Amino acid sequence: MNLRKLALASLLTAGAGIPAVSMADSDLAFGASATATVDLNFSIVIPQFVYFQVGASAVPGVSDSVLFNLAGVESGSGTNVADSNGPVDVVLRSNAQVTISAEALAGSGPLAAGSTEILVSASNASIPVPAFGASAAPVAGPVNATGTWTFAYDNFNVYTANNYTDTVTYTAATP
Amino acid sequence: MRLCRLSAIVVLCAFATPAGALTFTWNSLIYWLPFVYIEVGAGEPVATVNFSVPAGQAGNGVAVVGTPAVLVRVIGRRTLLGSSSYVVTVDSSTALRNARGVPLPLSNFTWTAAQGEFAAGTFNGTVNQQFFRYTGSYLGFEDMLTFRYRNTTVFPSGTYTGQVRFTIAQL
Repeated sequence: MNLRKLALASLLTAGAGIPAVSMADSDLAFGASATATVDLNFSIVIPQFVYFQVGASAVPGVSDSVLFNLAGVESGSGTNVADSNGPVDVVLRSNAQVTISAEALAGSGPLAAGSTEILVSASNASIPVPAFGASAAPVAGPVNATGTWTFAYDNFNVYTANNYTDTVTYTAATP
Repeated sequence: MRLCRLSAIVVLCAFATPAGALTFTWNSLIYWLPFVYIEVGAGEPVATVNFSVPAGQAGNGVAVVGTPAVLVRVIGRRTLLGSSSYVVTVDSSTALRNARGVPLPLSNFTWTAAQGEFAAGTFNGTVNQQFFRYTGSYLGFEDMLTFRYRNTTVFPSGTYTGQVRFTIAQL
């Protein structure tokens, strides 16, 4: 209890004949219906950041897989084949403008560089999905969005029977 | 901590002070004059509560604790025998802002009191939110408030600063 502070302020007030006296972080006021006010400062530091998640797992290094299974489907029929594993969850949080880019395909067959046979769409415009080897339009920040990316194989060309695999890295970058 | 015995303590101190007569005169005044007193923070012109959101955690819903905890002390008396109502309000209507002028409303901050003397709450962004109310002949409470940033919204990067104002009034 800071009695000395209160005592000094009150003494000064009484001696000077003024109705109230303010101290640094305290205030004392005399009289009926008196009011006293004090202020309190707030300061918060928010760093620039981007959080980007592709797939169901938030654990870094754990990747989801997109699977097109053409068993029982005529290769090259032109009928889209859906991702057997379903849409891919995506999360984007940032307090700055973000640009999402995709690594180019580097596999073989339908996953060869320059292939346009993998179709993809985004459920949320705030998390656009770029074409392979390209960047999507920048997303203005702040952004705090979740959504899904849906992949399909257009099955336009005929390829030799095989398991074709590739890994694509997506990157979200702030200026 | 309830400060019910303040007046009695002050009077006793008067007799232990070399300048006892002068102090006793003041004590008489403070004992008879209605007054209100409020103190927030200690050791600075105006106390500052600082928050630092960890990198990558902005907007993830994990609250960020501000430092330091802040002492809030309110004292008041109407008259020797009378009673009155005292109300402490807080003005949180002016949002914090960063260097680019981006606002961060104070409704993103909550508080709790260590001893429970003041009810926990959240700033509501108005000019006269009731913080505390008491009716009696003498008011005397103090507690340490811990403030938290709710961290449920993603705000642009920067250092945001601002102020709230506490007002005690005798009704």
